[in-house]
Amino acid sequence: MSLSTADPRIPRFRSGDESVLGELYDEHADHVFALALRITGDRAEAEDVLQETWIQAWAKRGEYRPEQASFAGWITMLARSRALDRLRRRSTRARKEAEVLREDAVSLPLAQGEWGLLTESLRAEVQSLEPMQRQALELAYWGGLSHSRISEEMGQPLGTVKTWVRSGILRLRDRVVKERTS
Amino acid sequence: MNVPHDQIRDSLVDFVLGQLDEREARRVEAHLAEGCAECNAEILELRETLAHLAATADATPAPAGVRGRVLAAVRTSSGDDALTTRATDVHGEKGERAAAGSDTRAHGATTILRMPTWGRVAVTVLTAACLLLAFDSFQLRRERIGLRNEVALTKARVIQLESEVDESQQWAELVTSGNARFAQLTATPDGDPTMTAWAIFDAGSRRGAVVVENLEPDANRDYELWAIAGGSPRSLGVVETDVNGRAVVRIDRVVGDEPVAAFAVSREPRGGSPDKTAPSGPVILVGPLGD
Repeated sequence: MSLSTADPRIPRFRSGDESVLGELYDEHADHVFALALRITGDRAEAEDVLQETWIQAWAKRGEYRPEQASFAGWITMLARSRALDRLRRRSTRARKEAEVLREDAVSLPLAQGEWGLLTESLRAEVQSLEPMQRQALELAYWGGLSHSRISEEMGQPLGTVKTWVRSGILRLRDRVVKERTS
Repeated sequence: MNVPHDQIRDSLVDFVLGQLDEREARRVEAHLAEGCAECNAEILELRETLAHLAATADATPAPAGVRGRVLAAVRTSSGDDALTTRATDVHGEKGERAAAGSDTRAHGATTILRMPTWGRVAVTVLTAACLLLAFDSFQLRRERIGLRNEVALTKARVIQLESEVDESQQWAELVTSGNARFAQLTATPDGDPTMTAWAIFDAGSRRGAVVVENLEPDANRDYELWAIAGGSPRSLGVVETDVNGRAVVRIDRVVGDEPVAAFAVSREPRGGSPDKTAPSGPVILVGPLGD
């Protein structure tokens, strides 16, 4: 995955050059699928999310603003949004089944290069968060729950939850910035 | 109403996590679109961070077949014929199958020479049965590929329609917005009195639309639309009229945050004014925004 916002393929993608789409797909599809599988816990749904995300990315390519997101950041945002939409439509029972299926996910070796190192670093940073803060952050990101829902589920004050989530994300952001500049 | 920069900056984490309601999210989007360098840099970093957070999920190979369906759907949505792709896919599988089949037949022929008559009959019957089954299997695979492509194309169409509905809603909201203001543009002494235009503009989102009528088509000239904001003209681009001299121009956003006071149209050389901060030709239509 490339983090560069100056990727020379992006203007071609935005102008509708189909040949670039295949290249970008090859680069990012595994991560998009992994994200969708983690959120939905269902391979068939994750496959649908993967397909819809790329078709949506193509349909909305004119709205992509490279100054506001790297391509990886943008495609991740689209995929997360679609996966969470599916999750919210599903019943509680199906969610519980999905929790079991998640254990069956096939793991691949971690990505190489700068992307892989940064991701590993971020994984360590997430693990270093206080358990309650980590839980709040994971419910917000992977579960797509609102602050108030997290507050209810965890039995913690709303203000505390907001602070946990916000400071957690900023801490992860600082880690990414630090690793990239070091 | 413009929301203070500090307030927007403090809500960026909630924005990237999707925690803001629609109205709050629109405010952040408008602020980012205005070009705030600090907030754009922050949002870039936050989205990269979330992309890395997403990548902490166990990497899982994307299923084969999705790539082909996505590219086929995209080709179709771009106006090409998806049937070409579908036919190529099927032909490719058929070709591989035929190649494998010819190897089998060659091997089988060698074996048949050593068999008695009853054996040859049995092999012929079994071969025919296998060919029938293989044909059925091939037909089913072709149908499955066809159905999966149709599903992909339908989904592509749904996504396209969702996008169009979103856009239509945004324009409908412009008209019904309590902040919408109107302007009628009338001809100046340099314009033809039959020329006219109307504008609608939302000061909050800085979006709007202008309808112009009776602009005389001129092969050697272009007409250019301007917003007058903070006392200075800002080009909104060349107006493309139809054969009757009519055009509808969508204004996605007027750059900057100074209030827009008026709209104007000038007559320019082909391609518009070389200076996008001032007309180079005569202003032929102008009108102030009402309260």
